[in-house]
Amino acid sequence: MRAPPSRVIVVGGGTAGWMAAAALAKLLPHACSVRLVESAGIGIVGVGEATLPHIRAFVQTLGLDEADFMAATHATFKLGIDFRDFGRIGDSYLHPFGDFGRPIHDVPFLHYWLRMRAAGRQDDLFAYSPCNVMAAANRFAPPATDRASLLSTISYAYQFDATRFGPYLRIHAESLGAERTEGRIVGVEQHPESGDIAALRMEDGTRIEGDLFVDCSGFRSLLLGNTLGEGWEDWSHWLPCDRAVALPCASPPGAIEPYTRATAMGAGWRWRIPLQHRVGNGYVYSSAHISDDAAADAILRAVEGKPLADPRMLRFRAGRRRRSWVKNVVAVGLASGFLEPLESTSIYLAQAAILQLIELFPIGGIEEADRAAFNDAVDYEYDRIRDFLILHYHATTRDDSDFWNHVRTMRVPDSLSEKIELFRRAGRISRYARGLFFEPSWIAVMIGQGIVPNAWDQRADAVEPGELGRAMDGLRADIARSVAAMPDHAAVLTGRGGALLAA
Amino acid sequence: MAGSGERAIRSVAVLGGGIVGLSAALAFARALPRVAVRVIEIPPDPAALTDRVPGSWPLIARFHAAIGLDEADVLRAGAATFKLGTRFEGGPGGGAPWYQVHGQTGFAAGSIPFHQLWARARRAGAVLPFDQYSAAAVLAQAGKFVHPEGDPRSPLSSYDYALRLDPARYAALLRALAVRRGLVVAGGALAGVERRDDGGVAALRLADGQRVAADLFLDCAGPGATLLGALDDGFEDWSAGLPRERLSIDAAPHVAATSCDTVRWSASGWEMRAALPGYEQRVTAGGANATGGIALRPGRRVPWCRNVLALGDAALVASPLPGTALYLAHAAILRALEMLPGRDCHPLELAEYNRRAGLEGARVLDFHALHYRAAGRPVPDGLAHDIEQFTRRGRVPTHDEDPFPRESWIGALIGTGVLPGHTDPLAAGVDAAESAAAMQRLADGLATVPGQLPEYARYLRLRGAPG
Repeated sequence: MRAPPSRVIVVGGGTAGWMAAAALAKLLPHACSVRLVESAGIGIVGVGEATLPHIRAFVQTLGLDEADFMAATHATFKLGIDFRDFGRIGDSYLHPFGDFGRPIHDVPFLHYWLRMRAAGRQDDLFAYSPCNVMAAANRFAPPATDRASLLSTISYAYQFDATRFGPYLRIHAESLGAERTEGRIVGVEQHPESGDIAALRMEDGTRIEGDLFVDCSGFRSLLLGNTLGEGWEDWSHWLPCDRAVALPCASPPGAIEPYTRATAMGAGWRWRIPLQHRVGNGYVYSSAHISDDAAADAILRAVEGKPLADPRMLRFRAGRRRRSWVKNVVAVGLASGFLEPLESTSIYLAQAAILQLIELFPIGGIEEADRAAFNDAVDYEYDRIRDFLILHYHATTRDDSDFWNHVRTMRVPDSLSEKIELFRRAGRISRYARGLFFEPSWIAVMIGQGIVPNAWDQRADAVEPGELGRAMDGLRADIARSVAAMPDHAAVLTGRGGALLAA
Repeated sequence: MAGSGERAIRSVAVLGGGIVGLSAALAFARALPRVAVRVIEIPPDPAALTDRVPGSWPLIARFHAAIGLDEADVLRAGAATFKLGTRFEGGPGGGAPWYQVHGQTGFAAGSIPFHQLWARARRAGAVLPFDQYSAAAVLAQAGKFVHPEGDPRSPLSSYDYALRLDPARYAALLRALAVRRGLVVAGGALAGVERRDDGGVAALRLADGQRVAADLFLDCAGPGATLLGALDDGFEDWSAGLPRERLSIDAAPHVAATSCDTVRWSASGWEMRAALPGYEQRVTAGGANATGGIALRPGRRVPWCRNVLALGDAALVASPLPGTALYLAHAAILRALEMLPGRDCHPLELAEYNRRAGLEGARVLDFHALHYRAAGRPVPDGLAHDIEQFTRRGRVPTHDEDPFPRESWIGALIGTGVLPGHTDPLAAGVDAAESAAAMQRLADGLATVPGQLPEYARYLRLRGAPG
């Protein structure tokens, strides 16, 4: 006997809400009905303009056509994030969506580079990252399918207009059978005994019942935070940035960069995200170290193009709810927690939670084991990203402001200080099977911000230096040749019969 | 900048000249050509499972490549034959015989794994055993073998294989290779351990008066962990989850070669049979009351302490059933090379090795305990959680450092009688009639494969095995 399909109610029609509705409607049509409740009166945050390569799998899973999706969201390609002035004013490195070189005899390329560096070879590790070379030339091509090619080790993501992503997904979600209710939620009914959410009470007096509630209400965390009162784990002592001021601008003439830029500022950092039709900018800052007005002035002074709107202020706090799935409420996106956008993780975190929910979707009733597995997976993601973000602030020699003095000298989580020390000793990175940010990402930020290992894998000594030097020269030449043959990023966007460039 | 030169390990002494010690010595010497590697052949511990019933998994091919040993040479020396898997009969969970093999079973429907489709079809009625949708199991059942093919359209591309080792000949082959490579391999008995001020080992003193100093010592001395035990006597006892079995190991007269070993359970324990060149190896576990043979004490140690790394039985003892002893030793040797610390063996570097070994150990315990499940013993927590997830929804959780691929878990879960009770909601979207038809086509196709292949003994001879 088959249990009747679950009624899933998604609360909130922002990016996370429509991602959840579309994915549930697409992947679990036999297991649930999907209704999304949103109010036009409540705005969405919608600053998550830069993404990580995982978004491509999500777009594919939903059965969306890449060109169509990119046109609808005015998307550009993204090869990584260009970090400026982080380790030291004047420094710059691109955290690439791809590897550095290739392993030789099973030993990661980094170790050969370290060895040759010690022997006096003066070149930049980032010259061995195809993404870096592509980004510097504003060129783009998708990864090679031939596993033997170095260009098979690259990946890419998108930069898009987040305010257009939700509405675009809505069309698909609705075509897949998701229903939408417009209206303001004025009350939440709970079962008197279990405490489960029974129904939402709407402003027009109607009730919306459900079996499982996906809380995508953003920072308000309407169900998980307000109704169920799930506690908050605060990380603002490590990640003190708590505000942002966003400022969209006209695109400057010239190339469209296939990467996001993050530039360190006196009390935080500013983003620059080139889209097809404009450039997204914003200053993420610590309100303890700069006033709102001064931050708005700073971003107005920093941008290149003409502002297209007044600066828009956002407030947040780094941390997460202790659990994201409590009773019959699963929080996704900002309702579950917040990590600042330094590494473009917001949409990834929503996506990971949605896919985990689908993997653990209730059969019959909700089991505690599934909730626990879900919450473990969310913790696993958050903790890793948290450490990775803190690294960007902590690995610095900057002493030009109170903010940088604070983050440079603060005590970081043991899990991070051990990672740094392990890398410093011999270029080792802790290995994990799941989640975000694997070896190349950690290497990029550590090396990019001045943490250079004192030693290298002993096995790298087995190759004769002359031979190694020639191999490295050859690798650089290969990358340069491949990238020179690639089209310009803007040309790729306009090239596919104009399909990609938004009207 | 302090280079690798100032921190590099210059010398390695391996205590134990069995399969584990020789394997480690060969791997270290090949990856680190400037390091002096010396093997001290102490009298072998008869209870060292890895030397007596090594087992191997497909990783052995990569390991052999890492030490520069050609598969054809192993075969030619009569040290090994090809093995596709093991047939388990009459297990404690009851149920039909099943095959432990390496590789894919069935086909995935997009992101929906095959076992979900199979379990649903099974609940609906007639379906073949799970194995029958695996090319490797079908070949193993027929006793046939061919090397996997590269063409992904061929059913012969869907599996991998291991080697069935003759322990004595294989050890002799490794020893000859070590000598040929110029490694010092010499007999000796350990008389004492000379410690450094920091607690590490400075040198080993041998009974003949020799003193063997080294930067790093590999304890391959068997389950007693002679050397590691001198530094750290901690032991994580697994006997709550795994039986302390007593094994007797015998050679029976030659039987026909086959690509599949057999484990047969009985009221008193189990018997494992493996057709080796010239004889059949029989390993019998007689239960707790048996006398004689070797006694297993399942458990693990924190393997790396100061400048002593334990490998093989010295690091971990589980059970012989899934044939993983040498597989895990290979994995540990490769991990040690991948994470080799400086000669100061800094605690942070060792901690990362030990962290990974510990996560792996938890999975090893769970995987082995699964094979003894329903023998009236408590199930370890990690395994209980995975069984719960699999039983309820056919889900196989991901774990860091799991040495066993998902297909191995699924095969062993289903084989030992853990069956999904419900169809995962994701799988519900796949059309049942279509997938049943595709399953039928696959099984029909696979059934014709063994008949087209040469006899196993002939295939072995073609590949150079002594006839």
